[in-house]
Amino acid sequence: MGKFWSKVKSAFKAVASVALVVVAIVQPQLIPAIGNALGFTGAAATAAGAATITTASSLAQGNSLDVALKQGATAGVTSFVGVNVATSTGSAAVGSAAGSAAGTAVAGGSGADIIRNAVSGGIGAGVGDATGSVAAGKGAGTFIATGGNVNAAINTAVSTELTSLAKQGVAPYVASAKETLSNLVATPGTTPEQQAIAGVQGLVDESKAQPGTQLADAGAGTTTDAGRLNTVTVTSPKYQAGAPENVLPYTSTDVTKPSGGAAGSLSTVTVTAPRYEAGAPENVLPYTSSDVTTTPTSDKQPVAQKPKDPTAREQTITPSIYFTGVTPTGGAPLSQALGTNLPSFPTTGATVGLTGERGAGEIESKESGKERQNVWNEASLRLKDALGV
Amino acid sequence: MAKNPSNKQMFEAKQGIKQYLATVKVPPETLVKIGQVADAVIKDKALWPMFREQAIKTRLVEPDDLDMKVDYPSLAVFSTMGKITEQMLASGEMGA
Repeated sequence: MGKFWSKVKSAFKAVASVALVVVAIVQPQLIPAIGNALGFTGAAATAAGAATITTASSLAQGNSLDVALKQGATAGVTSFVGVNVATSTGSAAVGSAAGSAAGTAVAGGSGADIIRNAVSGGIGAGVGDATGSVAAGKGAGTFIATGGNVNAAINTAVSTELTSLAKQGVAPYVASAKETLSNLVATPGTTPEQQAIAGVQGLVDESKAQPGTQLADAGAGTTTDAGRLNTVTVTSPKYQAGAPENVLPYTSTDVTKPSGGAAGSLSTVTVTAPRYEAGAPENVLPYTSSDVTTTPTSDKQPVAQKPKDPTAREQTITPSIYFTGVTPTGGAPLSQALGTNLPSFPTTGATVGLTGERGAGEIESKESGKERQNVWNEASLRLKDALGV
Repeated sequence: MAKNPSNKQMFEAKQGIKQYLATVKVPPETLVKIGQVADAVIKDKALWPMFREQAIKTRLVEPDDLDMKVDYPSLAVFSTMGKITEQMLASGEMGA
């Protein structure tokens, strides 16, 4: 690239200086595309693309190589830190490789290699900041300082820049970047830096919306764990020789009283730990609310009643014979029921109708057909009494 | 003229492109086409030799201007200039 920018026709060099400035405005997708072409992926691709365009633009505008590299590295740091502030993932490995690559770059690289490695150096510093490790940033700077002396000026400048970024930490850097870029933010995403800032804010918001993740506060430069419910574990004391079985009394006061129904007290729930076995780990009873069943009891238990059988029919006795206007004159109950004791009841033939043509006390045989015998038994005596004969 | 930096930069870029095309005496349609080729090279660097040859043949650059190896900043420049030129042709700004 150095060759291109040093020998290029003045006309093209002039137009390139202004064209590169508006790359992000005209076609922002070109930035990560160039990063991908350079071998980077994901957030690093955007950082690399931004650094490439920024560095080339700086060179086209007549800046020196060290200034261009610093600007390119800054663009890369801005983009990459924006991602790492919120995600904080994979930073250590990337940072380690990036520091080495940056050292190689300033030791004698040229063209696209310089840009690529400068970006890597920026990434290394950015990762150091994102992880809160100043040592990582210092390590990158030290490596650059000892990586060669081909260009002492660039070496010192880049080393100082990266170390300074690492010492500042994420929050001051992002804050200063925001302040610097606030005047440029006319339309979000029009420059690599603006895209980076927008990315930081978006990722921070996203992390806040996901419980259980780390919350990054770009303003304060802190990360905190989002609130989450912890697992409750009930641990019983260790079994002591001679002591009774471990018992954890669990009283009803710990249980929410059920509403409705008969008033009563909650039964006590007792959690019993298993006996301690020699050599076994400490007894731990994982306790969850689903393990407890509350059954209310009452001092006055209701009397149990058999449920009604819906198919059963109630049996009622309804009298079907009524006597009106006539007062019975006495006699046996059966004669009263039959009305034979009434004055109007004809006595003649009654005996014949009820007993047939047989003598008193004579019972007709039902089976043998033999001649009736004149015997008296309990049935005949009742009939005799009923008939009043 | 331009109230925000972006508009100012775009104005300068358009002016720069006009001056560039006038200097190299190349029609704007050629710059649009070479910009499309640059987009393809960014996706497939194997096309770089073909792009370099076309850029030299159309007199947009001289042989020493482009390395034999892929130069992404140059591709970004041509791609962006092609897009801006296309917009100016569509809006009639190029003839002004």
